[in-house]
Amino acid sequence: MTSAVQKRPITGPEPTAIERWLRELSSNWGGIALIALFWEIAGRLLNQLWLPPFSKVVARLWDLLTDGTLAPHILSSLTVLVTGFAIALVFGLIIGTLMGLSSWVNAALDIYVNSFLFTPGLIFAPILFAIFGLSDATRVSVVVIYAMFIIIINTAAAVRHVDRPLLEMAASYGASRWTALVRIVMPDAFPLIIAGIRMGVGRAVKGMVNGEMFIALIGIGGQAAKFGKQFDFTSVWAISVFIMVIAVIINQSVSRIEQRLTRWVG
Amino acid sequence: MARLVAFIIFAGLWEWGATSANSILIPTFTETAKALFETMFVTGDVWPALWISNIPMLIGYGISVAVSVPLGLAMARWTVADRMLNPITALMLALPIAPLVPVVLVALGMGMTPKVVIIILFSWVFITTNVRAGTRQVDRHLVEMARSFGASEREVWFRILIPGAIPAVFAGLRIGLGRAFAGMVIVELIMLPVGIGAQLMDYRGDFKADLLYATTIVVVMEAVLLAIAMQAFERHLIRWK
Repeated sequence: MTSAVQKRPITGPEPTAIERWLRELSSNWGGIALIALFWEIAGRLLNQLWLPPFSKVVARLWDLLTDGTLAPHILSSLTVLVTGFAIALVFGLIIGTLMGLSSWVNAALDIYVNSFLFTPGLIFAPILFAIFGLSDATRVSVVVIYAMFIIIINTAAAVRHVDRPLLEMAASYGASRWTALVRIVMPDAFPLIIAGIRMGVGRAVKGMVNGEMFIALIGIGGQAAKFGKQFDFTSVWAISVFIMVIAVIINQSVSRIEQRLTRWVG
Repeated sequence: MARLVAFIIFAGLWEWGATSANSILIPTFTETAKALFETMFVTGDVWPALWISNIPMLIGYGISVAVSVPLGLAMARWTVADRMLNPITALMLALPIAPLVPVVLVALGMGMTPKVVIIILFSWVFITTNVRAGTRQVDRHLVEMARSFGASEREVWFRILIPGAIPAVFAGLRIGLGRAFAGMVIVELIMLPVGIGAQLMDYRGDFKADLLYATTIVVVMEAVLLAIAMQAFERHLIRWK
């Protein structure tokens, strides 16, 4: 049994970024291509309603995207996602900062914040639906519940763990509380806060899809629910693949922004 | 003290908000508290529903743990397993399960099996990836050194890898339980209204808003209790180790 340690030759050039990227692409994409191939064969051999071959799913996705079936729903979903996430971000940062700065606020709110974090957000959907009905507010508030609490928790933890001696020094040099907050607390807490925001984005996408599945009328999730009830599984798979691609793209872009911002602040 | 003040403010705001909204679908705080007491201790309506919901969750989570922990350990130890499973875990992490619920239902029919399978789908990949990531952090040189001093594969596992991986395994188990619980709630609310999901929808349909809120609170309490229990168990085991 050889060990799994990656040994690089001591001499010789370091792999460039492009080489590394190519290698990663070939290993992971090779696997993904294999899965797609396996799916295609299984779909054709089993010939089951619930497992259409991969090629059919891709073709259907193309149809749904080009014939205008999905376009309004995508727009509606993204509007809800952006609105809900913006609300979660603003309130998450404010509440989190307050909890990080004041042990009183922290003691008062931590039970509720943690309870919301542990609880699957969709459980509140029947209540939200009872309050807001079919309006967009139902979906937006599901997204807020999914995304806000991880942002609060990370922001509070980040602000709480800011270097205390640094703060004391700033105060002794006559920095106001506001200056200290903007110049010291925020840059120091930044990486952890951004990590919370990244997780919040991922959760917001889940909240969007699940909330729409619950209401089963509008948005990408609503379309998936509709096709599911009609036993149109080729379309269900097509939408699932589409959501997956969107989630990966959003995730990658947020990670890239995170890296850039963290480097810039640090 | 702070907690008490916050609770009083919260209850007061709710009471005032609900009274002024005066909607049949928004109960006051006192109405909800009364309904919560009733459904838990007087009629006991919530318990059978909670039980029905939890059986597939517990079975699914159990299977998920039994499969995912060894998979994660294997991925961390052997490059071949890692290469083979990495694309699958990467895809599964991004794949939305909720829209695929009807697919599983048609594939597996009615009854308990599809629910168990959906709960496994919701949770397994999070357990595997956490176990893999944590076990990989165990010092590679330690493993190499042990091998060069003639330790058998068995000894490497039981002396180095497993003890080193325990914190990560527990983090994975905790996250996995949260995901399994979420799967239970999501399946019942979007596709298969039985147990708690059915009860919530019935209360909403019958405009029994106080019971709708009270039952939601019971589910939140279960989620919080499960999380606290897992954390306590984790701390206990790590201290014992």
